[in-house]
Amino acid sequence: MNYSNEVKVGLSIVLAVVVLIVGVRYFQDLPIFSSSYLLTANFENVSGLSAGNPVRLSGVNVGTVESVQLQQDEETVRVRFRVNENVLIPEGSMAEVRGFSALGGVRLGIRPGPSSNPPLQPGSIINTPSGPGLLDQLTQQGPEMTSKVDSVLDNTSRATGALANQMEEGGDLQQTLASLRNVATTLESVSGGEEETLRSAIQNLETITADLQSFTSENSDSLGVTVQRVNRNLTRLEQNLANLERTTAALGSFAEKINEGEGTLGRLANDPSLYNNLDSTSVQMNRLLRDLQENPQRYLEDMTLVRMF
Amino acid sequence: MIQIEHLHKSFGDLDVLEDVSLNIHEGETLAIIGHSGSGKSVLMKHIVGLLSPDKGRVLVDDVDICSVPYERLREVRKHFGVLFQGGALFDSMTSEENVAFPLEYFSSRSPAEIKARVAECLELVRMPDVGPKKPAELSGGMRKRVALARAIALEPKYILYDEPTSGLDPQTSNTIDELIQQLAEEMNVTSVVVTHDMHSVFNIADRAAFLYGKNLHWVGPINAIHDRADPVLDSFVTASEYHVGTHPTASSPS
Amino acid sequence: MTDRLLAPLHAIGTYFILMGRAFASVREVRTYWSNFITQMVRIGVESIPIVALAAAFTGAVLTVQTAYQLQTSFVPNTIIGSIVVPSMMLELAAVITAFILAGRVGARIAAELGTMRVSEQIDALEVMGLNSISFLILPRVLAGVVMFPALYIFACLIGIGGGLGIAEAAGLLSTTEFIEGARQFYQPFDPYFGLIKSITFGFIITSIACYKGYYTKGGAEGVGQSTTEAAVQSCVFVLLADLALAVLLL
Repeated sequence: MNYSNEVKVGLSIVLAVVVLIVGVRYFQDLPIFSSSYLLTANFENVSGLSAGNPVRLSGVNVGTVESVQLQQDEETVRVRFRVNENVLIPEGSMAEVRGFSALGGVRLGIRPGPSSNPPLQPGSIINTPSGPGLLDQLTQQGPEMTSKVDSVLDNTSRATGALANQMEEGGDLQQTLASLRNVATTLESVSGGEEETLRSAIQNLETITADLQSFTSENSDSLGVTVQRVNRNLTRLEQNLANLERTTAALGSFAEKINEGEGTLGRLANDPSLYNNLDSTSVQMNRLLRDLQENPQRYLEDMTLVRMF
Repeated sequence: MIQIEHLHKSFGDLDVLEDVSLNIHEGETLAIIGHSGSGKSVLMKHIVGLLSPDKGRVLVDDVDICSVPYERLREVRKHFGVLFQGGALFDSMTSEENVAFPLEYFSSRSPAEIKARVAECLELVRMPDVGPKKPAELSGGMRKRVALARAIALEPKYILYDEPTSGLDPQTSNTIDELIQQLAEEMNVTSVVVTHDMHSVFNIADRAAFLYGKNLHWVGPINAIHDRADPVLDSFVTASEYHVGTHPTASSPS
Repeated sequence: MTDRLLAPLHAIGTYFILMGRAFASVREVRTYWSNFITQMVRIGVESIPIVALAAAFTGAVLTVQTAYQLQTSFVPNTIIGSIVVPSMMLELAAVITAFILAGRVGARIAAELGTMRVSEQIDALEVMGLNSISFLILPRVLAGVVMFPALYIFACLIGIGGGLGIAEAAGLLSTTEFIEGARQFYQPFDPYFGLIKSITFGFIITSIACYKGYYTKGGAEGVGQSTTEAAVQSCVFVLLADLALAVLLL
């Protein structure tokens, strides 16, 4: 067959361009037809990592290092790398240089973060094991965490105060309290429940501390995620104490109503066992709360990180 | 009108032309004659700006082609048709394509008109059947005639012939001479013929310019050549005549 | 004495003025377009078979010899791929292509233009009012600059393919190992460096050949001399440019 010169030239050039594109992507280990996105990681030392080295997630090649630049002013090395479009790397993942350049096996490894986290957006910065990013995050989030703990303790003390006031201003307390059988039962169950919540809150804190500890020792997780978790737990603790406060206030209004001598309550006021019952409950409760106020560290003893601030 | 004024040209240490002045008038046929190596072709190449002089100038229709920009020079050259010694046909093209070549680049004719003009030109040089042949398939005389067809395709005002009859047998030489005469008469072109073939000069030229010893030794009407008792010119002319008379210009392989 | 000193300077000056004049007329597309297409076929398309042949053998030989050199050492087999692929991309594909085409294309251009010069065809073009430099030189140099990178790409493809093929056929290492090794040390700049080289070589070879051919003097002997000089000098300048680019860009 005879093709015109134009066709021959056009075909050669088109073929060459296709071979170039496909070949370059093939050797960069990128999927030939889908695209990729760019991520950045800052290292103190890249141990010989260079452009073109593979990027592996859980040991599987998922992309290539695009550039390695020394940022002399920041004393870091900025590594930009491409990851296949269909591979999502969750937030809190960690990038690290693995292998030895002497053996030719240097690569960028990615340790995935919790899979429940949203994926990293193209162009974002991925955490690195020992970079300055870690301490930065700690110092940023630290004060906020301390003030949260403060406000929780504040709330606790206010709640206790309110309870004490109600107790003192009760007037004929014996009579009043004696008439509170139903209320007491409610209160007991409430305070019991709160106690449970508090205990779980403290347990949560312990878990956080453990997380933080394992994080610093093993670098297993991103601090950002941990800090988020601590925040979440403290918020829950705060909510629990607010509930307690509300309950105490409700109790106060009940007591007032009883003082004003409202009908059916009089009949309930003559049962001493109920009073005893309630008394012991409230004493217990009082002790617990005062203890928490005076010695928060007993409950927060293990929060070594929190104590740092 | 072509005016050559005080032209000097040397190649390295070799002076070829020294202070040559010559006017070529509209419509005439001028023969530039001289011995081989006397600078005839060099002079001719100056007329179309293929060489530029060391000193002096060349005016073509009052344009100094030695100092104009290249683009302007190209415009001036479009008035010229040049028949080179070997024809200088483009050997990658057929005869037709060679003749059509200047038309395709420099005329606004349609392909059909170009085809017609090519046929006309080939007819004019009496080579109507060689169109599809490549130059390598043609004899020397045929090549020159196709080259002449190409030179006249754009109807030039001036035609320059560089040794049009050299290397041809006498019969073909005569044909070429007739063509030169015919073109001069029919198209009213100004012709400049560089040659050392006196036989041809007497056939076609109105005037002759004799180059000898780096400059013009003699310029005058062709019928006045014999009137002058100039030993140099006489010996040149008689040598040619003797040559023509005894050995009928056998074609030499060149 | 001064002549001997001035001659190279004169040549360099003439060469650059010629190239300047060629590229000054780059907008007169009409003058050179059809020649440009023809030359792309002659320089590029018609060179594909010989370039492919040379590249395939180069790749194969390089692979076998690298394997031979590494056979007693402790480095993994993949290193063969890591050596062969960048060698092809960075150096061999471009230089082998250039050497073959210095002979094939450079000599052809010089002979063609030289013959046109001595048979007054260039003068004929000029007196027609055509810009012979734009008509003859520009399309050839442009075709070189456009087609050399394409030939380089094919040479890479076929050279690496040749290496892969012989590695698999001779049982030196598997295709997977070869590719893994190639990817391990792959630098994204490698193929682009090769492309830059091939564009440079394409320009050097075609422009030197055009220069030699265009300024040919004196008959058949002159054409022969121009052709030889074009082939030899373009090889020399390809090597010089190769070194210069390596020093400047790596």
